[in-house]
Amino acid sequence: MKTLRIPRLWRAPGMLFGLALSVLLVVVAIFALQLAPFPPLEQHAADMLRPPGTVYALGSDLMGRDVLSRLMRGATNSLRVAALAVALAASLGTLVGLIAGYAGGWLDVILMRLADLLFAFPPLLLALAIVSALGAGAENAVLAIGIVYTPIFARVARAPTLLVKTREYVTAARAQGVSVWRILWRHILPNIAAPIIVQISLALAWAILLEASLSYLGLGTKPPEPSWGAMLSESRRDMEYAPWLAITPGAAIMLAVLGFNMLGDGLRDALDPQMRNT
Amino acid sequence: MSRFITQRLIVFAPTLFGVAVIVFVVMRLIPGDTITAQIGTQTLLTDAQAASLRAYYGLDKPVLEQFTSWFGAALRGDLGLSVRSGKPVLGEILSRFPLTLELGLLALLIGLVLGLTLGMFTATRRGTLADAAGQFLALIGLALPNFWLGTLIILVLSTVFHILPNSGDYTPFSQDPLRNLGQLIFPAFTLGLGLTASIARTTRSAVLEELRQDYARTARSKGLSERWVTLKHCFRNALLPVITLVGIQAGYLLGGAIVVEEVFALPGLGRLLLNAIGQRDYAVTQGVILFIALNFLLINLLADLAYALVNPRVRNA
Repeated sequence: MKTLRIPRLWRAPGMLFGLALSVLLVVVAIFALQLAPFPPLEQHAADMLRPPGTVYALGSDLMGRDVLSRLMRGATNSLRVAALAVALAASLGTLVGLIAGYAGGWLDVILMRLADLLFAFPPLLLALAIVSALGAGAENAVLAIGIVYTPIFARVARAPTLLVKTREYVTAARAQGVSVWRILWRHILPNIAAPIIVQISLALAWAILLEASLSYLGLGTKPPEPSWGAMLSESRRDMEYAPWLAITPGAAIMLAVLGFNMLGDGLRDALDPQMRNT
Repeated sequence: MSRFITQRLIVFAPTLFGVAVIVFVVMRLIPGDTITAQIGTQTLLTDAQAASLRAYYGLDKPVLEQFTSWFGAALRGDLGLSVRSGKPVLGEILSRFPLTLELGLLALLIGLVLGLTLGMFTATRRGTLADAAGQFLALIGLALPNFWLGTLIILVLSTVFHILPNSGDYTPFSQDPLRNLGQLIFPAFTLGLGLTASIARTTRSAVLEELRQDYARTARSKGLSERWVTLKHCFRNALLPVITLVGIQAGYLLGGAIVVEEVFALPGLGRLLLNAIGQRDYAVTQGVILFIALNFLLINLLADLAYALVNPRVRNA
């Protein structure tokens, strides 16, 4: 298995840009309440639909709430849903992939056919189906997005497991009577971690987009808590005379998706030399 | 070739069955059941009334029996009745489908034309500023949420050009083709831009990969121009991964159409689904999800067949 070569990372400007965007986003999401100039739910009746200026850097909405503060708090909500969903998908999917790849045989066939079945749905459709059954809200969005991305992690984990399980150190561990779970956890997982880390970054980008889509359709984070998708959806009413309401949340979604995508692409290039020249 | 097609068709049937099982199971995740969910609180109904409703919809039967009767009926084209409109679900779906299909096809066309052009343009200018700019554009296209792009298009059209693309009733193509295309061109562009970006990226890397092959070097050493080698030799082979990608992405267009129809207020399948979800009309929700998933499977099957048709290694196997 290839390991990350740190010096090479610094020669990839795209990845550095992605890393910077992602780190900025995570910092804003974590410290949103401390960094925001106003409480995100605070209404200022005298300052409705103020254009961007000195007091409200990115303007205010119909209720006189500061758009920048709501975007920052929206980062917390959007990223929390995306991160929890990817954590769910990565842990469940990796476990399934490890078991399928290590066990082989009928268990492998059953688990991977199940994963294939979930691939038979467009991601947004599957997420909509799950949320429509469970009800709108951030928790159910986490579950829906998590289920949608689980099969991807199962595939990503399974392929290198098939390779690593034939290595001598795994055979040696098995000969010593080491338990299956310990072999998976201590000997195989660390050696298949690289592609999973790449996938986590890419999945975060798509999970942010999927969460924004669900929120835009009114099925994600519930108002008045801000989320980027819902802010964009609400902006449609007033955007002709307050275009900043439509521009800013969309730009935030795009930058977040771009950041994690470029980080993931860069990590993949660093880990897989064959991809670098294409 | 015929063996390949048979193999694909054999896999298709169990996948369709599995998809139906998933749709059925997911709709059973509803807390309580559809009757409780639709009525809201039970206080409006006596226990006896709720029980008779459950019996009417067959919800009192064992789950396996419910599934077999639902799936059997679905295979015969009976997806049940909409609780809100009282009309057959399949009829509602089929009346909305032409719009979504047209939107998807237009988006696919836009994605193919723009994506292949951009991909070839960047591949043949590798390492130049134009290549970097083209690649960056493609990356932006991938990250751009289609509901934001749609919103921005409406914003620019309404404030700068004083055109409201989502106002007025939708006109079907059969009634007035020009008006219909005028209504669908912006939504189709919105939907097709993401596809453009992925096709451009795949085309670029596939063409670059082919340009490195031995046959390309041989063609060059025969004295053929770089343009000829790229267009006549490499581009055709580079289309193979693009076809696979288009197969997958065309299915995603169906998902994307749900959001784009909402942005542009188009009465297609996506809006039917969203309204059904909002109104807790589970028969329609279940029917539309199954219908879109079936189309997704069919598109992937078609893409596999197209791949086999253009790839001599599969065609002659």
